[in-house]
Amino acid sequence: MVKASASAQAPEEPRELFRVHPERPIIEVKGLNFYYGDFQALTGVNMTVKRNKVTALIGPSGCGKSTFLRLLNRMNELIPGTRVEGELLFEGVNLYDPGVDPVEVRRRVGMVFQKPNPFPKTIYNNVAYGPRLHGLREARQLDHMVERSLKSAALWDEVKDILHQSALGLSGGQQQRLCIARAIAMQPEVLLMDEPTSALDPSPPAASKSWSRNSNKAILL
Amino acid sequence: MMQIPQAQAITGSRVPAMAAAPLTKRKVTSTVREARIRRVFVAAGFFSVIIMGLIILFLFKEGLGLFSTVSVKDFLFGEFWYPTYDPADFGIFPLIMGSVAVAALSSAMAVPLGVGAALYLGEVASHRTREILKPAVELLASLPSVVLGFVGMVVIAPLMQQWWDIPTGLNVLNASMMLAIMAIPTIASISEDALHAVPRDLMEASLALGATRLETLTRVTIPGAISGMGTGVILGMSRAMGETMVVLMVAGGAAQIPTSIFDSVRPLPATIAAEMGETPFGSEHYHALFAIGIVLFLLTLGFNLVAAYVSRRFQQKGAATL
Amino acid sequence: MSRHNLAMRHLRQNLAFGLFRLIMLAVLGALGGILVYVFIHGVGAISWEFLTQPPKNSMTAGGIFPAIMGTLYLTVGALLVALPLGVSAAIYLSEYATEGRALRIVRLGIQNLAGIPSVVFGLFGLALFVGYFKLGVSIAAGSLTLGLLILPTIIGASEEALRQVPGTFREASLGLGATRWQTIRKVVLPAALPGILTGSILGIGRAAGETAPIMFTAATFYTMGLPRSPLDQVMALPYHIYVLATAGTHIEQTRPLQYGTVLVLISLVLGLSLVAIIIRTRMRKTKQW
Repeated sequence: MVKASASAQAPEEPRELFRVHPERPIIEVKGLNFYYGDFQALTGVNMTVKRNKVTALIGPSGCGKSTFLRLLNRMNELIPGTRVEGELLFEGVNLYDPGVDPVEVRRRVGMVFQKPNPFPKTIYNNVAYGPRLHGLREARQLDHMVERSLKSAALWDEVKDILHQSALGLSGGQQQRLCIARAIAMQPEVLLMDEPTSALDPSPPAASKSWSRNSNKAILL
Repeated sequence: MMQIPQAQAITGSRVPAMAAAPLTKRKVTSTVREARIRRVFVAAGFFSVIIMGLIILFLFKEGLGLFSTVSVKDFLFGEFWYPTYDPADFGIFPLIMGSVAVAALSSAMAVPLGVGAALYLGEVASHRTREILKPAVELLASLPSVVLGFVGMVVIAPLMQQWWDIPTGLNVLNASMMLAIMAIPTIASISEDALHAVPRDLMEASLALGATRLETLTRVTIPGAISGMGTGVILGMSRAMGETMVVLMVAGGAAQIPTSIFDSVRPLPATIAAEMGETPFGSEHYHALFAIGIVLFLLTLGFNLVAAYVSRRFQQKGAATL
Repeated sequence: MSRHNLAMRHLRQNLAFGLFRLIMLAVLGALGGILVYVFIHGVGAISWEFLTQPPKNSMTAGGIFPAIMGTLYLTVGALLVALPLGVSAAIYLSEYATEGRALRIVRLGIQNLAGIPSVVFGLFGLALFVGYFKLGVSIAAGSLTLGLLILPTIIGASEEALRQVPGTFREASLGLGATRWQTIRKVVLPAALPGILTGSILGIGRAAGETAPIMFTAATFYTMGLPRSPLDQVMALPYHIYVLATAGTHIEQTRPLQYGTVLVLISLVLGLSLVAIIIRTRMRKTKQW
């Protein structure tokens, strides 16, 4: 089902910038340095991320895992005084080239944060937030998208009767799965998860396996 | 009626006296002393409440005297304010309409501009620009009202008169403009605080889903800050309603119901300020001015209670927690 | 989800942000314009004589010295009233109060006090201090009225300053066997002092610029010399501006003096606020905790 909709979408979306070459790694990082003001947070990072795989980053706390993840969808540039050096290639294009639009990057590279951060809206509107932004208006399509995303995040059975209640009423673990569903609903090509396990009941790789298996995607933990 | 403030005043002053004086030769234990010190601060805390009570009491004590000769209905809805005629007319309806006209028009100008400036400060300006402009806006909020009254009277009024060939530049429009200039920094500063208080992680969540900054602003940040911004707007309007010097100097002073923005009006605070100086202590006119004070007090109290209600709802919202 | 759609979304953002920027420029332009205009017209009137001499020739010449001194007396008096009361109330709110009905009532009282129009404070001062306490139209009555007016400002700033003192400071002191009051006096208050100072300066600025509350409680058109006791009437800068601009017999003739007085008042009030803001910014940057 996932595959079908993904291929149905391909023709109406010409990927001028990020062209998919299945034989190439989806992300390549070359000689990446990152600074908060004068403080160098990352030094000489090199790595590749393969498509259709779950890639895990491990390391002691404070070693820069979160910082690195946030670089992959250009979230760090929201913090004043930060600076990036080196290359960060996504589908062969440097994410920090002047012509690259951070909004489009974040559309394609989804992110789930360490702390659950649902919007103070209903469960339904949380999941539908992204698709609506990108022009999906029709109610039936939205319903379908919300249901599929919630199922992928293993939350559907728990919330299908309370879709129109506030997301803030959910437990911490449920909120985190809601955030995963919200990210999945964007159909990103890469999903970044920043240590979401602490608040999760079933582990996130399991929860989103069904989603990643058949598509052209990678998950970073 | 007079005994209540005295009783309050006495308890207010006796508590500190008790704590300051060593009562007996017996050594006072530290627990007892601590309890007394505590009582001093509790009393200081309640002082504002006592002052509120005293303000209400004295306004009513001096103002209610009028209603032995004038009915409340004739006072509020009477169309003629001729306090020095014989017999005098004490109808404040034109004054109320003057206040309403000026407050409404100034809000219509100040709210979009104040909120727009807040959105610029909170969402568009770079970190550095914001660090400079936010204090500058706060600085301008402290501009004394008599200065704006002066500018409206000496600079703007003659210009208006020339440009539009109207009988006087001291009118609703001019007063509203000056009031708006006064209210904008207040609205902008409080609204920006409210935008700033929206949890960062909600904005990050939205941006991470591929929303533009404008979309994040309209769908996440503004909904999260709306109560705080509402509080700022209401407080700004309340201030416009109660502000004295600008309307005293710029509104023109004619006690008439305005039919155009170029009409002169005499808002409630201007009436009090203009006439109190020439009124014999204890006369009917004196009581009437206090009665206007009651109306003004109740109007602004209403605004403030609404603002308090709105901001309380604001506090209940917030980031999700585990 | 096409690129065209994305371009539209960016265009919309640029338009909206451009509008916000324009509004900010307009607001700053209007306020800055007023300041510059007053400066240009007023700076010519400023001289040593203007600042140190009383008015002469039925107000058409001479200076504003008595008005400057009157404003000084009134604001210092207001601070003497508001500072002890305000800081004590803030200590109650931040150190002693517990959630409950009493605290809600106190907060409601302070909030509403802050929202009362200044002319109503004037009426209250007239009825209570001038009339009931028989202080007459005097520095004392005006200072008390202004003091109550700035009380909420002082309470607000002081409470914020006290709350920013970390709880660990208090715990450390209490853990060493200090009593609550000793902790407040020796640890919390010193740490909160810069914030309280900022609030006081803001309060002074507010009190110096207010006109309506002193119109019936303290201010007068003209005095021969300086006041000799707290029960004397005084001239004050804001009231002086109002009177010269509206009620003088030579309104056009005294125009330069009016601009000069406005410039002095603006410099005084904005100068004080600027000092407060600078202290606050410095404090936030250099805070060690």
